[in-house]
Amino acid sequence: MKRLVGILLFAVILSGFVSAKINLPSSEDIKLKNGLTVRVINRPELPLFTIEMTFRAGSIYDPVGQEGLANLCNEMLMRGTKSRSAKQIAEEISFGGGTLSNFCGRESAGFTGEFLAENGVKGFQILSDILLNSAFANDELIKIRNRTVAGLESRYENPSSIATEKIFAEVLGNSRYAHIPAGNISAVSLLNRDDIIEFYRKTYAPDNCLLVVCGDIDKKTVKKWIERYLGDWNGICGITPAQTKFTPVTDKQILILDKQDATQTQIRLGNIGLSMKHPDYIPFETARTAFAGSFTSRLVNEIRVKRGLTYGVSMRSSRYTPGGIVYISTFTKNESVGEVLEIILSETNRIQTEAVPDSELIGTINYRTGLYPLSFETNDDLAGIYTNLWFYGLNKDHYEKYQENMRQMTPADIIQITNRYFPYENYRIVLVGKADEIKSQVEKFGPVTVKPLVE
Amino acid sequence: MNLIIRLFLTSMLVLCFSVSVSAEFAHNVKQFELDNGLTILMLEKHTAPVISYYTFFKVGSRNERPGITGISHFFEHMMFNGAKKYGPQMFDLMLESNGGYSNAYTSNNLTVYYEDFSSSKLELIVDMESDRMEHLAFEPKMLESEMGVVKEERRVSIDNDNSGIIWEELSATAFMAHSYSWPVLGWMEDLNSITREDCLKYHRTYYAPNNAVVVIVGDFKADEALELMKRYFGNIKSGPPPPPVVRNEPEQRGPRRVTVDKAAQYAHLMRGYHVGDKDSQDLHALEVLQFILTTGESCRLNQTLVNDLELSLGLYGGFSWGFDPSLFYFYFAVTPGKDYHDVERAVDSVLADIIQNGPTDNELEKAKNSLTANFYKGYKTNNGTAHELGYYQTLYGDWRTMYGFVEQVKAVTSESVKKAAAKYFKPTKATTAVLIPEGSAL
Repeated sequence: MKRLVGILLFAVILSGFVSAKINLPSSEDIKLKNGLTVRVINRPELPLFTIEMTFRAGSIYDPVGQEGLANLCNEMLMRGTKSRSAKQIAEEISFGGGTLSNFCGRESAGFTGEFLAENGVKGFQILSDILLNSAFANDELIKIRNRTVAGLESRYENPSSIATEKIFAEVLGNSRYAHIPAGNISAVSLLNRDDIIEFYRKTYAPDNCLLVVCGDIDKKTVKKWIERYLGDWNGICGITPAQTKFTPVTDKQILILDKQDATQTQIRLGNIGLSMKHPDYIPFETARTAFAGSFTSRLVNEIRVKRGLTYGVSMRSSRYTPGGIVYISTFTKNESVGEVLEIILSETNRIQTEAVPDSELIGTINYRTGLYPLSFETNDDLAGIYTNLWFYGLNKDHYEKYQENMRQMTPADIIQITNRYFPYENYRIVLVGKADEIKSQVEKFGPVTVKPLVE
Repeated sequence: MNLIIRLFLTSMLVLCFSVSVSAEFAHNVKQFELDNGLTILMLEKHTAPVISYYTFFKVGSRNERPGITGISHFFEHMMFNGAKKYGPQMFDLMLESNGGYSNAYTSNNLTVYYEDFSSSKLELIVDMESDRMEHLAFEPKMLESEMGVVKEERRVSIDNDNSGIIWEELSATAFMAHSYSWPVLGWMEDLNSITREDCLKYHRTYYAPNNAVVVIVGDFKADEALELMKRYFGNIKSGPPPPPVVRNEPEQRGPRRVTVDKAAQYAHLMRGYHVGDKDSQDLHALEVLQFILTTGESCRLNQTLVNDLELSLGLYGGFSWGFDPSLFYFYFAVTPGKDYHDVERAVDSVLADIIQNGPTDNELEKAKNSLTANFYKGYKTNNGTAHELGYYQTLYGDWRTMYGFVEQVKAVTSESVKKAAAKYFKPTKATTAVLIPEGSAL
């Protein structure tokens, strides 16, 4: 009876829902003669602004045998210039209440920072010094290289990140997207100063990046500072994006990484996915949310709520230019691994064959479209969105019509899209746990290979 | 001279920033208290049609007793598992299908819930929140499955995570008597023995309106929201004041040490020192000290242990503003192949230096500017704003205490930092926890 009352209420309240529409704030471009493009979004609500500077300089550009080069180069750019040590760079930024950090992913690398508006010139001065005058000092390189190698050795402490690393390697095994940006120990150990400078010259060029400035700062001020501090920056991009095509795995394989002291197993199950630019992107996001993308989604309900077998389960999607990877991510005590995999696969089969009820689909769409405005709240959010527009060649409709497009979805679309993208017939499974206790539970899902956790 | 002008200018910039943000709150935050003792704070912000709604309960693992450790955190989970009007799973279902999101956290001092949602759904949220405050159901089936979830959470964040294990060992060694000694997630055996009766009693005691603060920030009208709050929460009975937590921690008589042997890629080292509570006179000096020692690339411990000596891969440190005296702790991931004794020696030498010489003017100013800027960056979103208002209100009984943060951080001197370091970082009062990789020669 209680359940029925709940469902009636649910229907009544659902009908009254309209989510706020998104209009991206306008941006203005500044183009310098050296090829640098700066995109300015003026938002004067708080006296702060964010910068996001993104280069096509991620780990897919690591030459074969030099995995980790892009990451090491990006790190070295923060490790001192001709006139400032790494410590001085950090101190000067922090002194004015600002932040500046570096990042290196698979496709892109660069810098993000936040500054108080009136003190913001410091951000441009430091950025300029890093880009134009980095020292790439040998003693710093040795230090950072040692630290990176030690980090690679120690990463086996974290079964969750190892499981994710390995599902990428298993699914994307033939592409330059397969390895983690930090690289591998043998390759990183051999990287030298010349390698780094060569990579820097090819990638950290004004025509290979976008600088987004968003917050309490106007175009005139940005132009003045950019011309002063980055006007003399020269260089031409020397890399060509690899013509990668992601190909799906066409059989079932299970890899167990044996961690003898584990009482819990990290589980990943995946295959290739899709890029943000793909026409199926929004239908896929809708299906992913209904399946394992919210507290009320199917897998959360079946594995966590009904059976208490995990603290978290989700379907993740990493998007890149040529395509993506999609995988289920969860964990459970060793004795429940077979049961959890069984549920994942039977629920996948169910969503691929039975129409999702209207109320469930409407609820999913309302959830995603209702929360959508919160992704546009801060300067950081907007800087990230403008970076994505450029990086992936999206147009504004991708964001502004997202809600409208999602509302067009039908139960039949969900069946079609889940059959296209949800791993069921073919997949890779990675398990990080105690092999003795889990191997026999999972053999029915495909051929199993057991390897020690630490290579 | 140059340095002095620079210091002054930077301080002025940060100060102007903080004044402009504070002024908004001073004029616009509205405070109410219902007859049953429920405190409500509201701040209208009409920039986007969304609302953040927070509920703070003044209960955390410090309010537990041996045998039911972890019950506060378990409660945080059970609050999503059905009440009277909205049964099991209905809270999340109603919220998400109406475009909302919720989550919660438990600390040793507080339990905190929030929802972000479209501004047209305020009444639904108020209805659901009042339902679970008054009539949480504790259905046996839900209790059982949710306990499974909580055990998995413990396995992932403590039992299979060496940094979680070492934190648990440090707390249990540093505190002999006080409830800060056990983990917020509780001991595994206690999770096995919590009963439905324990839960009912806990709910009656700690989830009464007089033990809660509600904060609403976003696109709504305060007078209408107040009417809703009165209608839905006004009839909930207040409870007896929760029993006080006894401050029974004895004086530490000498250094303490615990070691753990476990499969690991590197050694994990933690060091803790007892400090004061949220009302400690040294609170802001300790904040500055924490920044100078452990925050950012240029902090002292990073420069010495990570950069110069290459003894550590990474570190963090800090302390919480507790109702009771808490622990100032440092964590170090020891570089593989390095001796953790060398890490300890290096830490001792960094602490001895700041005790003897205090911070430099530049360090002090950098810490003050960053702490002030970071404090106000917490107010960038509705969610962040609601959290900060509720946090100060629940901890201090007055959200306006937040203004004191900026003023008191500004008032910290080199001498007060030096004194605080000397007062708390005494070698005889140190607690050290080390996780040594199994089979290691060290």
